[in-house]
Amino acid sequence: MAAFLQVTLAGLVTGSLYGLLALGIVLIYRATGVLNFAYGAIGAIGVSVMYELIARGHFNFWLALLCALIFSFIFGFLLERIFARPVLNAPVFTKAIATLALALVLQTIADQIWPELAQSVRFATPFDSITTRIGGVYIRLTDIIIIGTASIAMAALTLFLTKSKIGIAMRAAAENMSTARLMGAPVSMLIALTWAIGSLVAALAGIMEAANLNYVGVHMLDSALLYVFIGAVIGGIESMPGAVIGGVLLGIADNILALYLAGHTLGPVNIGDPGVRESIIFAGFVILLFLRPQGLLGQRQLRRV
Amino acid sequence: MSSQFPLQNTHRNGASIARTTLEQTALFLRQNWLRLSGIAAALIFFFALPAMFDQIFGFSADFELHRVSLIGIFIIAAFAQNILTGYAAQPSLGNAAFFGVSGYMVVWLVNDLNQPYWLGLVAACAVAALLGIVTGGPALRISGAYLAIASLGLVMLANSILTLWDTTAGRESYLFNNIPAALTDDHSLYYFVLWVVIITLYLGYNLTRSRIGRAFTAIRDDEAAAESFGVNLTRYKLLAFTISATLTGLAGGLYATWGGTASSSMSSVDQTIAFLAMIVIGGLGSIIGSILGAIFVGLIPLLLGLLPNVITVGTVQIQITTLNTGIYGVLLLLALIYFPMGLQTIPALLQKFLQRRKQS
Amino acid sequence: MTIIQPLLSIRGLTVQFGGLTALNSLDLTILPNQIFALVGPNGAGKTTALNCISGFVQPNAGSIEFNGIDILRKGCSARVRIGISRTFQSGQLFKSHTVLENLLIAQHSAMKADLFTGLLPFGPARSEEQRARANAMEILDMLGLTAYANIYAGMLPFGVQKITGVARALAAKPKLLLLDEPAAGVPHEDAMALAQNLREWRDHFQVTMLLIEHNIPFVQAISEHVCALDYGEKLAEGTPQDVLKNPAVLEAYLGRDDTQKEDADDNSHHS
Repeated sequence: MAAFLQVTLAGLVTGSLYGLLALGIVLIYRATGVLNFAYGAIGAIGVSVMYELIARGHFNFWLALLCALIFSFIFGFLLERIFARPVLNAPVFTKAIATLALALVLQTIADQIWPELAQSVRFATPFDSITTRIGGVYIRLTDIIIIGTASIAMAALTLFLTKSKIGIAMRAAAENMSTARLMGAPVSMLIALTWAIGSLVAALAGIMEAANLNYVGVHMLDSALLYVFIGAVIGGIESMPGAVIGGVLLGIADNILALYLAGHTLGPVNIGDPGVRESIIFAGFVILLFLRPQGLLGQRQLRRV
Repeated sequence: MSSQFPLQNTHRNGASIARTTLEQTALFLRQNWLRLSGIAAALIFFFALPAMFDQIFGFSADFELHRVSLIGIFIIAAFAQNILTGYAAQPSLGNAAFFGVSGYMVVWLVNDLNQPYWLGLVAACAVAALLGIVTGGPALRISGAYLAIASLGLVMLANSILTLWDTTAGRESYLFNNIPAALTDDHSLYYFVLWVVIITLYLGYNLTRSRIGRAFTAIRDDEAAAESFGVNLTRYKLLAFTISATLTGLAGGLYATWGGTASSSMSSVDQTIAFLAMIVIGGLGSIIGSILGAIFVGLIPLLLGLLPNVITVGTVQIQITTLNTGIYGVLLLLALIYFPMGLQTIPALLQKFLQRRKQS
Repeated sequence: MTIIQPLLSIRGLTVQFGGLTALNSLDLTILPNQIFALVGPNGAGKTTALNCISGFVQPNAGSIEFNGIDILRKGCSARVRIGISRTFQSGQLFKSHTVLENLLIAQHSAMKADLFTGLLPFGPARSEEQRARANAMEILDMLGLTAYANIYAGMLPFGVQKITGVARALAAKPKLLLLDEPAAGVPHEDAMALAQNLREWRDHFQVTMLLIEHNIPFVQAISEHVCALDYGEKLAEGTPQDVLKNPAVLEAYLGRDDTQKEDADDNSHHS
């Protein structure tokens, strides 16, 4: 039972990070119709900037965090202006492949600036060593901070989009760009803002992942990104709460499967192998979508004649 | 607005429709001379390429020619993706699953089961086709971004299973030792691939201009209208999945032959997105687009590899090799920004340019 | 007196969307070679009736007989094959295809080429293709569209798109042609000319026409028989003169605000 709770906690930690990343992806997808394959690279650059400030600038952890988040916000804004703007009205596939090209460019730039981050480098936080034990379950302060921060960030973002004037305008622009423009909304500014917030969220999630794993690397979010896409789609890619739920479910399922498959064999196959776990998750995902094509919380689309 | 209505039935002339075959041929030649001469030039170029390679590259030629064959394999895979995504408008990213499975099937059948090569290739295509039907059926229920990510999940599933097969069998990748002798030499492999590409594209060209191909593109343009004229949406989408999977299977079998091995990286997310990238860069719903896109994705890294490792500008030394990926990304971005409808528009632009020169 | 066998016979057709009754026990009888107009304000159920006949909407009750055959359980493609084709209010042409190709796609059901014959540059698929092309060119010629044969449908001016929609539906060689607001957005003089042309094409192609329309002068100019609907119920039926002067019909058109019922009509578009 303790082991089960322990992996559930780990699942909740990775899950809330997946959920946060999924939220950022859904945000940009709804605003611009782009499946942003560069999202992992954008987040990794935010983490790398923080690493730079701590390691070379000798900043205090919290100041570095603040600066990295501000940097990511501006960085996202600039990315939209320089990169996403020219392809905004291109066909949807063109936009998706363009983000892929962007990921290649960003990763090359990051590799040039931080060659040492091609491998994993230790990433320390002020609260690393603080751990408590409740009923056989070890709980790190890091775990609590991650789950708490991710929940607050997700709630804040949802409130911002549904309650604030700017947030509502952003959603209107996402629904129908030309109508929003006719009604006087500064659409181009709103889309840039979406990218800026998206980038901020990516950096925040990336930094928490670095705190969780205790290491930082330019490619640290690459493998997570696919899980995040899957999480977003499980929840329903038009739905923000859906994205969060999908991400959390995936994180928990992954960790629990890892626990129960470890050390077992099935004939010649070692089912403790991560490959088996992945197969089960991907197969489950594909089957789930076959059964519920619009995701858990997505709306079924009506066809017009 | 009244001038927009072609309501006057003044020039009814039934005789103008019936033309002799000779006249039709002449008209066809006159209208398509640029395209036809382009095809002829391309055929001559590709058939003469090995000879030119030998003269230009000398000893290292075989290696380069080997890489050129890979582009041919990519052309088949790109065309397969295009049938599904460009013609039938299904945003599926699952093709690398068929690519990998078919590669493993060929090696398994020919290596381990000692079947003749051609049978292995045909059987691998059949397995891919079957997988295409099995996965395509349920996939019809899913649309848009959901289908894209769900099919990506299929690729990851194939990747995990193939990796697991390798780990269980205790190998890094699946070595293909039984390749027919005739295909181990780079020249014959090149011509084999070239012929397969030519035949595939020629049959594909006929298909896209037939009743079947038009049904695909009618679905793409307007599902309701297509249905109202009797196009069975389910049947034709499934057919597109099957054709696409079969051709990807063919490409996968050739790829295993080309590399002398099948590895789970054939069914990777990178590979499947590369297929999509090819048709997006080349142009959706276009054969010439499939070719140009595959050449772009296959050739640019090859050309970047030919750059010197270090360039010295003044006193600054630039490590080119570490920049290759970034340069490739930038070129990709430029292509997408300047040719949002794909490189397929180049011939039309060229034709316009030539006509303007002729007029002035 | 001889009794003419009706081409289309609708009995008790009822369609409900959720709690909303779009059509309530509608009876229609359309005779061969007739030009039959279905009129009524927005939300009257015209589009729903058309969608039921072309197979996009399954009614909750009632029967539809075409040439004496029950077609209620038949899908779209079976209905095209036995001779029902339609146009769409918003055109819905195959935009990335030329006008000629649009007419070839319309003949999909009549053609037989499959995957394997389609791959080859010769054989039955090609001769069938030649016949389909000849048929298409003949229709384009009749409708004055020959000059547009190789123009992409997405690039046509509005008026030509409308006629191309008719040409496409005719290419399926229908016995019954369903016209979804053929005169919508067409200026008055053109609408009158269009009415004249449609009558001419009816005679030439020996086709029965069922149209739904808002444009009353156009309906007067073209139709031989009119049925007026409101709230899914029949208000009046008969010659254009009688029906369009009927007080109940006038009331339905002029006496009420159209916008209240937009919702009902919107629903009838879904299927």
